[in-house]
Formats: sequence, structure tokens, C-alpha cells
Amino acid sequence: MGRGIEVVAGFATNPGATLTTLTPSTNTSFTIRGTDTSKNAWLLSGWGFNATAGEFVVKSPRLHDNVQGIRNRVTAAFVAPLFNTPFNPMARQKLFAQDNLTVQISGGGAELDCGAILVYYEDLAGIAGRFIDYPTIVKSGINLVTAEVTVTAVATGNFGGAVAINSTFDTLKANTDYAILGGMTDTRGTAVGITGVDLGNLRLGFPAEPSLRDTTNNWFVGLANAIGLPAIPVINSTNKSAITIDVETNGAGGTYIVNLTLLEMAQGSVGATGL
Amino acid sequence: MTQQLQPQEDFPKGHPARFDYDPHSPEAVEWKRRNIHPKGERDFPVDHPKAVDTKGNTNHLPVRAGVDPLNPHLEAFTGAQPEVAEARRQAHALLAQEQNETPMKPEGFVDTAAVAEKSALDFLMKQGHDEEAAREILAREGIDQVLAAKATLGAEG
Repeated sequence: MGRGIEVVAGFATNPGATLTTLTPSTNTSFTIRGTDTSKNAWLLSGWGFNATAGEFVVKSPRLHDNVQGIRNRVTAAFVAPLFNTPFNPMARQKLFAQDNLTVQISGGGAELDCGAILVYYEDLAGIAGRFIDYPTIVKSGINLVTAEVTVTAVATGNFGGAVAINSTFDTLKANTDYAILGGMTDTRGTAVGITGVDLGNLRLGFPAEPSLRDTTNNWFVGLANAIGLPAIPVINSTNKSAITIDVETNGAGGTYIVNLTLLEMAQGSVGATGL
Repeated sequence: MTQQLQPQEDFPKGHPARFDYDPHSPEAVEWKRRNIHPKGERDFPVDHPKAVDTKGNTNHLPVRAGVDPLNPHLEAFTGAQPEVAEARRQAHALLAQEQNETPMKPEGFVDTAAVAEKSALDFLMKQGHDEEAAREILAREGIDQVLAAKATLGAEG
């Protein structure tokens, strides 16, 4: 199965009261990947990062409606999931291959306002992310360890500052699988992105909200339980120099200390393509 | 063409093992600042933006939900300036005084009939009728007709 999870984040410059379509971060798109409409894709969650309160809209003619769709209030300076919170049993919003989602935000008149959505692909051609479910964590998890990195974000509204997972400390055991349970950040931003060959080279991520550390630190475990699908990414330490962490944030930029919570997995417990 | 060779130094300037080491030289003082940590291993390197002894670090700023750490004077969750937030509070207080409580039935349920009747009366009065005339129209046409007209016109309330 070619599973993949992708966080797509974007920004709007000085949207003010106007619902403004987000400009996706460089080389990303709010168009759902794939061409086979029989393969399931799910809208896992979405959130906004505003300095001034606004509205965050996700809509498409192929979702409920193309008028207001999934419209929610974004409170200022608080990057929390606005729908489908991973720590509640989650409804599944089906997405369709090649559907161009309209993602809009309103907010302040002199700032970058940002938003992000998280998409789950059950079987995406050419993608082979390694994902497992919660029972596998319980059965084959050995040791908890954290990977701390320093990411200096850019102020353009795009993802930036990518560093390797071992850029600060290089302590992962050789040729060992690690499940990424979630992570924490000390500074507010739109999203923390994690990219790597084990993840199908898609950027997955979680909200960069330092006051919801209990939520983001088990983000992928929550997702897996909430949606009932393997959603906990697994990386192999062999690829550590090519597993990168970056951050998307508003025009303030910032330096982010990101802690990823990893779980060392028993040798051979996770297949080459996960579950 | 002769190859340009970059001279490689055995130790950087200021390093104690360097041939011209002077403990009081600016290079030596800087080397010491960067590399000697008498209290033990540091959490972050010298000059790292999050190191507590880096000038301008923001480690002391609390990160509260809904508050911009760099602008804590702004209202939480709205980002509004204090004077704007105060004006909004006053406007909301005035609105609150004009609001009615939700009509309830003695059994503890919301009196939805009363809510609908008030909505219909408000709609008729917004169309220019006084309260007496509005009640008369409501009695004559029935609440369903009035609310249907309200829905057709897309009236608020």
C-alpha cells in the first residue's frame, strides 16, 4: 500500500476581512494528489495561524458545498486543529484525486496569516510511506527517545530552515526503525514539517503550537487511533541525514526548538512499507 | 598556472596551544568565551538564539494560549489593541443589555414556539409595522406564513 500523509500549508498577505485564497508554500499545492479516484484520500485536519483573529475556510464543489464549506473561526495566536481533532473519534472527510481544494483565510490587514491542512492518502501511486497503527506501537515499541533540532524559519510564509533530524544530536542507533509519535515546539508557527524517504517524500507535520504540547507530542498516535488507519510514521536511522525537519510560519520568522518523540522499534517489526 | 594554496593553521587564533597565544588578546578572550564552560556542559552552544546568555533571547517570555509572546499587551485570541478591545467590550455590554433571555418552559425545555413568535414579530416590525399591527398580521396569517416570507427574503434574525 502506498500510504502517505501530507501537510500542505500556505499564507495570505494582509488579507484583512477578505477571505483570501492561501498561496501554498513553494512547490506544494492544495490540489489532491493522484489520478485514481477509487483510491481513498482523507482530510485529516486543518488549522490556522493568525496574529489577528480571522476565518479559515476549506471548500470544494466535491465536498459539502463550495460556498462556505468547512468554515471556522481562527483565534489569534493559537494554532489548534479547527476540525477533526486527532484526540476525538474522527469523522472521515473523503477527498478526491485532482480536486483543487479552495483554502482561504481572513485576518489582519498588515500581516501574513497562515493555514494548513493535513491529507491522508491510503494508496498513492509512486508513494511508499511506512506507517503503523497503535497496536504495533504497543507490541513492538522498545525505548522512547527524542530528537531535538533547531530550525530557523523564514519570514516569507513558506516552509523553510530545513535541517536533518541528526543535525543537533546524532544518537540514533544504526539501521534501526523509529516510530515518530509526535513532537513539540517552543515557538508558535503554522506547522512543523517532517520529510524523508521513509515517508514517501511527502511532508507530514503537526501544528507548531507550544501551548498544546500534550496534543502535538502524541499527534500521530492520536491520528492513528482517531481515523482507524496506520498513521504513525516510521523512519529508519540509516536515512537520518535525509530526514529533514522544517517550519512554516508567518512574517515574524523565528527560531524553533523542535523535539520529535521517537519510539525505537524492535528489529524487523515494521516492514519495508509499514502496515 | 601555479596552484593557490590556502595556508592551513594548526590552531585557530586565541587557542591556548597556538604559538602566539596571549591570554589577554581579544581572540583569546573570545575563544575562552566560546569554548570554556566551567559550570559543565551547556544546553545550547554559545550565541545560539535560545541560549540563556545570548543577548536578545526570548527565553523569559511566557507562551500563553492565544497570546503573542512578543506583543503580550494585545488581547488574547483576537490580537486586538487594548483600546479596541475595551471599545468592543463596551459595545458587547450594551448589546447584552438589549438581549432577552431564552424563553423556557416550566419543564426545563426551551420554549421554541415563543422564540419563533418573537422572530416573526421582529421580522414584521423590521418591515415597518408597529407592534400592534405586527401582532394582527401574525394572528391573521399564521406564524408559518410569516416565517416563510422571512426565509424567502433572507432576512436576518
